[in-house]
Parts: sequence; C-alpha cells; structure tokens
Amino acid sequence: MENYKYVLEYNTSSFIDSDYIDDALKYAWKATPSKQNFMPYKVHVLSPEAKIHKQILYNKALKQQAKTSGVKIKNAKALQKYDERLKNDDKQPFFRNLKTAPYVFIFAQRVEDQPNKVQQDNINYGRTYCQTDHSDPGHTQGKAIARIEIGMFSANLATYLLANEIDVSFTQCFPGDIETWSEKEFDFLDDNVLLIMTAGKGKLYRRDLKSQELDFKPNFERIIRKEV
Amino acid sequence: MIKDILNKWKFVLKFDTEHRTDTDLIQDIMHTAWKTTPSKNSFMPYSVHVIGPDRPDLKKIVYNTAAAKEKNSNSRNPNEDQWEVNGNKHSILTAEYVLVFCPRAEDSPSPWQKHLHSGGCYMDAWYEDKLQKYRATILVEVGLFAKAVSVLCLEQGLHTNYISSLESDLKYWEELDFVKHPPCLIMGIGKAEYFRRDWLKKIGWNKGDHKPKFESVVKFY
Repeated sequence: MENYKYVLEYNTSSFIDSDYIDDALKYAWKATPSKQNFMPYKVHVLSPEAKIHKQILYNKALKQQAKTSGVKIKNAKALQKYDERLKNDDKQPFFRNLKTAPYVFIFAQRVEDQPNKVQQDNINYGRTYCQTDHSDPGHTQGKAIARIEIGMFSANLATYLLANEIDVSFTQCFPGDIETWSEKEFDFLDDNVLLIMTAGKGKLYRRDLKSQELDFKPNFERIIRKEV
Repeated sequence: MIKDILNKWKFVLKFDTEHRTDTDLIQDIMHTAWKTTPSKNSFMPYSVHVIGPDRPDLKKIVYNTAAAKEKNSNSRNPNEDQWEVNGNKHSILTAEYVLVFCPRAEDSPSPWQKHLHSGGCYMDAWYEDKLQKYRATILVEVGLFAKAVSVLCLEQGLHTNYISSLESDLKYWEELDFVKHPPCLIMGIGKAEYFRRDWLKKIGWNKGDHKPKFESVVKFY
C-alpha cells in the first residue's frame, strides 16, 4: 500500500486486461479471511464499458455530498448547477474519479442463504449467525461485520493491483441504503451498498494538487495507544 | 511476494504464551501500518489500543466482552444454547499483544480539513456525538488498517487473528478507561501454537467449513 495515491482522474486511454482484474479479485477472495467463513458481502464489478453506471454513481456521490453539506438538491437540473458551481470555484469533488475509472467495484452486503456444513451444524446446535439474518437486529450486526471485512478485502485487492502499477481509490460518499438504488442500471443490487472502489492507471492525483504539508493524517501517537 | 505472504494467514486458536516479540518490532509494524493505511479526508477516525504481554488483566476484560456477545447473540436462537464460549475467543487470552480498535473524534484537524470545513463541508469525524453516525466509514477503515498489520506481522513470522464478535455497549467496557466509544474490532498478535484449521482437521470438519465460492462473492458486469 506504500504506492497508494488517491486518484482524481484516471487515464481513460490506458488498457487494462480484464483477466488481470479477474486474477486480482480471485487473489483477494482467496487471501481475505472472514468471520466464520461467511464473507457477508458481494463485490459488483463494473467494466470499462459501463459508462452510464459510472456517471450515475458520480451523481449519487455528488448528491450525497450536497446533502451532507446542507445544500438542498431538488432535481437533476439543481444537481448540475451544483456541479458547475463546484467546478467554477475549483472545488470539484475528489470522487470525480468515478467518471473516468475503467473499473469500479461496488461492495454490498450479502446475506448467506446457503450455510456451509459447519455453519449449518452449529445453527442446529443452537448457535445464531447474524450473517444469515435478513431482518434486524441480525442484519444490522451483519452489516458492521461486512464493513470491517470489506476493508480487509479491498486492502488485499489494492495491494495486488498497486504492486502491478494499477492505481486504486476509495469512495465512501454515497447513500448506502438499498432503497436509494432504484435505477434500472443497478437492479443487480439487492442489499445495502457499503463501499465503492475504483481502479485504473492514474492521470491526476490528489497530492498533485494538495500539498502533503497541509493535508496530512493524524500523528502516529494519536492513533496508536500503548496500554502496557 | 505479497501474495505468498497473505496466503499464509490462518486463524490462530492458541498463541504461544512463552514467546516474546521484540517491542521495537511491534512498534515498527504499527508505525508502518499507520503510515501506509489511507483514510477518507485523512481523518483516521479510530484509535488502536495496544495491550502488551504484561497485562493479562486487561486481556481478560476484553475477552469478557467477546464472551458476553456470544451468550447474548445465541439467546436469539430458539434452540437451547448448548455451547461453551467459542474457542476462537480464548485466543484473546493467549495473544501476546491484543489490539482494540475504537472510534476517535478529531480534535486537532489538519489545515486541509479546516479549509474544507470553512468552505461548508460538514464532517462527522470532528464531533464526539456524531461518531456513531460515522461508524460506517470507521469500520471499513479499521479493516484496512487491520489488514496492513496482518501483512506486516506475517512478513516477520508473527501471526494474527481477528475477533469482531464483541459487545460494543460501553457498559461492558467500563473497566477500561481508554475506551470512550463502542469498540469495533479486537485483534490478537503473537506466535501461533495451534491454528483453527488444525483443530478442524482433528475433529474431521476441515472440508465442511469453507468460504463462499468466488462467484457468490464477486459479480462481473
């Protein structure tokens, strides 16, 4: 992950072999552990051809940003106006990489309906698994587990891709609730969206525009606490 | 190859309690994980509390939160709970180091974060009372950090595991004054003595406990 740099724009003319992305995903699937082997998530992979999907994703993220910042967006025209205002003010969102990314990975929650032999045996013996619950409280608990494990899966995927000079970026600015994903382009989704990740050859990076002297992470000592 | 390293990961059922890792190595692993883990708007909205080998008392408290979770969770199963506390959780007691990941509010924002805020950007990560709302982001980033720690440990011949089944309600954590917000993840580090898959093999379950197929998890469009 030392090669990680947040991408603002991807190079849309750079070709990435789809077999390579497939290998990276297989590797991440194989190498990522999961609590009780449930892997309570799905990774929906959008290919370079899915341009409309990516524009919709950008619009969703933009609307979410506006909502979080207290800007009311009533319709598509208002959203476009908001987008233009950000552009004119040189405040374009970082997640604009969604529009140019050759590959987009949408991580969504997954409820297990085919427990493996060990899991089923344990259920029969009195154990409860939130990863098999479609209703709350189990479903919400399963979502929390899925998020941590998605972090691990995406870290493995990123590691594989970065080691081979393919850039990645993460986006968490979007509405997660499945009810807000009603567009026909996303009818493959059947549960909450938890993370969006992009991959491709970077053309413009965040650090090209923002000095790391101004935009830094918290000091090591503020994150790691020794309780010995 | 990173691929080879990651493929070494196996859930540790019991850590070697005699083994001692150089504290400088643990410090270096944690520092590298901190340095290489990305974070939305560079907030790193979590803290990682490192409990060392000399504090079995603290590890016992952490273990109790995991045990409580299991009992509370199994009470929802209509079948009678016949289980002892899951053996996986006992690894908290034998791990040389135990990490507890907790949400953290930013009280000292970077110039860039202040700039965003002054431009009208709203940031839950700034506020203690908004961290619960921000938990979705925190959980994903905790996963990213934990994975980095794992890779770095495996590179050094150390082993790790993860326990995300824990009671996060603060009433279960009252004895640990460093826990200010509901914890997200427990992680054990040390030298493995016994892996879970060895135990499964021993009881004849090694083929029954597999992860979902690749095609069930990854979907192409």
